[in-house]
Amino acid sequence: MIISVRDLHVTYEGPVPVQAVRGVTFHVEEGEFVSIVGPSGSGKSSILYALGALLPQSAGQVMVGGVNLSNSSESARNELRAHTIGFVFQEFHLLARMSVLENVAMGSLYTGVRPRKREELALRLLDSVGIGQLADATPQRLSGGEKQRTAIARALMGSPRVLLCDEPSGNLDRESTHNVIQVLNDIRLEGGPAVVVVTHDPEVQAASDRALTLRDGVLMRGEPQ
Amino acid sequence: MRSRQRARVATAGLVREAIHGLMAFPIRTALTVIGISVGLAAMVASVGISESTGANIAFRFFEAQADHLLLRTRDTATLEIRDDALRDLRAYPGVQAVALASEFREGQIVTARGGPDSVDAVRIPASVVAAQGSLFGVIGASFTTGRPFDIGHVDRQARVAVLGEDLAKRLGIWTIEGQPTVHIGDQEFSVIGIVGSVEFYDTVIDGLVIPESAAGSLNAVRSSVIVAVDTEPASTFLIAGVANLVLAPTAPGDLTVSVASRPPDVAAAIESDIDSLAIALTSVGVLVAAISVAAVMTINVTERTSEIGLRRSLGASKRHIATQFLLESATVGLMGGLLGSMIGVGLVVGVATVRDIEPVMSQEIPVFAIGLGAIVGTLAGISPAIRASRMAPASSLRN
Ligand SMILES: Nc1ncnc2c1ncn2[C@@H]1O[C@H](COP(=O)(O)OP(=O)(O)OP(=O)(O)O)[C@@H](O)[C@H]1O
Ligand SMILES: [Mg+2]
Repeated sequence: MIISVRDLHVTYEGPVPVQAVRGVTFHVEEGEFVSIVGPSGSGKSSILYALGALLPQSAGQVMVGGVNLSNSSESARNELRAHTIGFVFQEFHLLARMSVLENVAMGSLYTGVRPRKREELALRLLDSVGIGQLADATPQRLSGGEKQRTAIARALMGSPRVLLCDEPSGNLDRESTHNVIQVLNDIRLEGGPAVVVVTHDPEVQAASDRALTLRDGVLMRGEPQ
Repeated sequence: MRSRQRARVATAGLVREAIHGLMAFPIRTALTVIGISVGLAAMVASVGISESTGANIAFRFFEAQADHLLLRTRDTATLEIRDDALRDLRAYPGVQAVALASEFREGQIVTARGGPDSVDAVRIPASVVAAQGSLFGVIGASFTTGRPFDIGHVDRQARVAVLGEDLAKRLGIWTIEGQPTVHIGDQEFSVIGIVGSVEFYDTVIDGLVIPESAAGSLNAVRSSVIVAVDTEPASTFLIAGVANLVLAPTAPGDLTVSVASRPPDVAAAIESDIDSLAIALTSVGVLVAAISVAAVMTINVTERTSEIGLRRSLGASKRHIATQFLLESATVGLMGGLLGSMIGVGLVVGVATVRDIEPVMSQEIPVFAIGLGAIVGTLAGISPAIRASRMAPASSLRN
């Protein structure tokens, strides 16, 4: 069990506090491919960022890679993000001023690996997602699918045990979506990280081992309690 | 192990990231660098120009403000200055006042406190000047206490003395209350005044002046005759050229003429005024530079919210984020400092060339400007850097 979530609550404070996640419990096994689906505003992203230790607003027990996020130190959570967790976003978040290769190599910038080593690995990962020939290009020149594959390669730089994707195909056309699904499947087959993907896309959902359906911050179907 | 590896990120990697970050907005970065360099160039230039001007200022005052002449007989000369010659000089156009004095051989022993035979007497070799009372007016003497001797003292051949302040201090005389006396050799004189400063003829400050009519009682040899001349500034050099001919028509070569300028401390005071003006102007310039760096860094941080979120998602600590932005603003400051001191030095050399003065500048000034640039950049970056490190990563990453 690489992820264990027990009674997770996420509440955004404000004039009117928003209870985005209200008592969610589920587990993810090593190497598993799990999708989280549900209508807009149901709390999918909130769960994902809570798993990535990026949401201070969460309560309940979240264990990732054996680390209990609710009582871990700030530096332990930084370590976790650097070494155990990889993120992929709908918006790619590539840095325009860097080449594709540099963007990927940045994925393990905060792990202390030397730049030379990082670039070697980055090149191999770009090859494995099928865009090794674009290493020297600038991100602006890439298609959406190529951008997302760059972002996935970046997320894999730290050899994570969990890959968290927030609507990775949200900005992609059919063909690019297929490419991304292909890449995520390959990662699994090669003994890569467990994948948790938030998606609206039925095809992505269909490619996953199982889907967790969320409605108003509560899990509808999926993991038995 | 891991944390040591991560610490290495902070040193090497973050510098690279900071430079990358600055390259993201090359025009903005360049403008900020130019902005800060203007402030620092102003500093280097104003300090440099004031230093150069200061170095040249004494000379300029000498040229513009010389308004005294001092004529002195050569060591070997035995020259008598005749009364009618003095009268002729007084009548010369541009001459305002003339006074005659004479000095005695150096090393006259002056004693105070109890007289020459007392055990606790202070004995100091000093210059003794014999003069008419008008000398004090001509040399612009100002008294810290007491007064000059007058025609009455001269007529009575009174044994009175006016001390220069330096000699008075060494003798331990601070006031004329209690009627202090000094001895020159074995002759006693009452101190009636202490001179604190003169416009020229500094000998008076570390010596003493007695009435010419009382000098006969001294068992001493006169070493030179002095003529002090107060002139109108415009005529000073003209008079300097003829004064010895007027006073000693038969042996003008026996008199040396020196032109006296304002005392140098006036120039120094003006120089320090210019310095403080430079510092005030500079402070404003540097402050403006700091504000502009802070403003630009704040904009940078705001625009790069999603980059900050991304870095946090990749494992960057708050400290990593803060350090990167701090390095960016320190780099901008450092480059501004480099550019600013180059421009500043160029300005100093340029202004000096145009005004035909020697460019003078302490070597520390450009180095100081570079360091100040880096410091200002760092300080100005603190608040934006802290803001960047505190940004909630999740909200900037999600759609
Ligand atoms: N920072 C925030 N402050 C206040 N409310 C928030 C914040 N972030 C999210 N919310 C609210 O929390 C609820 C859940 O948001 P979340 O982004 O987790 O939903 P989602 O399922 O990912 O939606 P979508 O499919 O549109 O991305 C929504 O009602 C949203 O408006
Ligand atoms: Mg979402």
